[in-house]
Amino acid sequence: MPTLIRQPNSGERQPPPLTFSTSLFRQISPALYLQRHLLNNPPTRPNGRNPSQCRDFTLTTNSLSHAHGSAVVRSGDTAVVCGIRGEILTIAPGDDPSRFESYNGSPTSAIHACGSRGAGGASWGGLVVPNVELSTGCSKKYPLGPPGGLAQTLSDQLHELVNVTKLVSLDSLRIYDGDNDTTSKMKIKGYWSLYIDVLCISLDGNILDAAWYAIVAALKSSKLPFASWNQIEERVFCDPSRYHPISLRQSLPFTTTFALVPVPASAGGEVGEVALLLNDPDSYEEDEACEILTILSTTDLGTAQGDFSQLSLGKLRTRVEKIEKRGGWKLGISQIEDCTQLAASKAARYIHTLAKEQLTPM
Amino acid sequence: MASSPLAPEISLNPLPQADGSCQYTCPTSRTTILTSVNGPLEVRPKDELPSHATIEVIVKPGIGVAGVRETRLSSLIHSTLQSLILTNHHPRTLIQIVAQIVQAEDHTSLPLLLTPLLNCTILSLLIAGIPMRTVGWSVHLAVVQGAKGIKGVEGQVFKLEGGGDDGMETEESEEVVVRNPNSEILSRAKSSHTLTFSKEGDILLIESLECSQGSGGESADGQGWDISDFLKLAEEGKRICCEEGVEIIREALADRKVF
Repeated sequence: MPTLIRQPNSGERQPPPLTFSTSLFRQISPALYLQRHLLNNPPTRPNGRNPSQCRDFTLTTNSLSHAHGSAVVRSGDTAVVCGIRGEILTIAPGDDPSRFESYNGSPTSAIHACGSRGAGGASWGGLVVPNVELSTGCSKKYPLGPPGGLAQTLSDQLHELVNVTKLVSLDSLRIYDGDNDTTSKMKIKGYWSLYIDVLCISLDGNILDAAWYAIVAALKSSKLPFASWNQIEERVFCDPSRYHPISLRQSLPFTTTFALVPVPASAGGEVGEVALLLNDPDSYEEDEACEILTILSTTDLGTAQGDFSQLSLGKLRTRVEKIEKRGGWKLGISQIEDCTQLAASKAARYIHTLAKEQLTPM
Repeated sequence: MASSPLAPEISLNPLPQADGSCQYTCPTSRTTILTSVNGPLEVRPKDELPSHATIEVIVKPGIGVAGVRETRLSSLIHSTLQSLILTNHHPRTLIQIVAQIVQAEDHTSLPLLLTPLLNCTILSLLIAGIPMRTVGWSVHLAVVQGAKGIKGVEGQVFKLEGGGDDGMETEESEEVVVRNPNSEILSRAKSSHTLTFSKEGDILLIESLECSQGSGGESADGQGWDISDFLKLAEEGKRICCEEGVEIIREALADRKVF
């Protein structure tokens, strides 16, 4: 379909209208191309979705055989692989384990404050260490080489998400003295430290949601060997035949990302701009977006858990744990409320897919 | 306003060689930031934008070398300034902003550093004469359960429903909001909210997160907040930024005729 850019009416000599193909229009003027789509009634995005619709996603867990847990998430053309590897961190006699005992614990001295990823992950609440790798050829914007700004920001965001949600129970990461049967005398001899590596194999926008979902799914599916302190050998031994799952929260938190795109609107004869919210943006929309909003929320599905068809979204109790909005100035406070509703419906889909994946025998 | 205990200490142009610079000290946590702004400068060919100025934000840590946290801070500041600075006024140039953390209670805490960094950057941009669409001001609020017994919070505690009155006579278990929390208050807080509003009351940046302590797992179920509580808090933040924040900028720049 040829697209026409109208020239202003300049009087007697009208130049011939400029026409070119849709694919060329998409390339040379992305902002206008996106706007024209969104001005349709009903507004439709270039990828055929309506503004509040998210992409379909697929989930596969435990596809990596050497990791303690893994997940592959594909959402539209964004695909990430997440692998979890547990490593044993032994507490030396002089060490104070209390700094591992709480998320968000404040650092006790300036030495700890030097870096959030100290030697061997030995920082407070830092037993779970996520890292994102974007230099895999996933997108032409991120060439091979040392991690760029986005990869570093994402790693830090995911680390913050782990701390904010307190997703992993520190209980299941402790390694006790094996010979003591009485729980009162049990002494903590070490910890499991979880290294979470997220590899992006294809990047088409909204990597944060995909990466976080992969992490949650991978943690949910991972199994650690039973480890205990052997007093005679004075080291930690793992039982290769017995495994235990990592215990997570009951109500799983999920992120939902929106992009805000400016669209001209005329209200009462006055021409202005409104920001249209696009759920789960792809990279084309992300490039044109003036601002990005991410909501981390938990949704209480109640009895309807796992039964997606019987959900009525109005009744869901949603609690927000993190809101991040960056760039731009067009977001209205009332729009945040609508976003939490959409986040709840997306969380319901996430939980449903996760429950279905766990039921299938491996 | 300048005599109020909440007013930050601002010294303008401490660096005479830079186009604009500012040193900002948070009144409670004593977080001190020094920023310099230079621009428009010549831009490296690889960063050049055909119809806009390139904005470069470098955050330098107080201890050690810059890491992942500093990269994230600079990317947050960058995206906020991108919408404030009129970048089309100086196409194919570079506006370089360097922020040095001079003093901080906790050098890794994003919420404690973000508000001083943003406020200091905006002030130094004004001094440097970089054209901006509007100015913004950032405020850090913490929701604390029972602020009794915390030292040094007088005049900064308020209840959400009760308006801006002095909330020192609140019950022990009641949730109160503390402005400009220091690291001691933040470690007892349930949630931390960094809100940035423009002079007109538009939201520029929200960085709100749950920050209660705990050992995770099932004990963390049910944490977080209801969206209606957040909206009340945002209204309060907007009031602080648009009234007091703008007043602080105006006082600081009083004899410079920037406004």
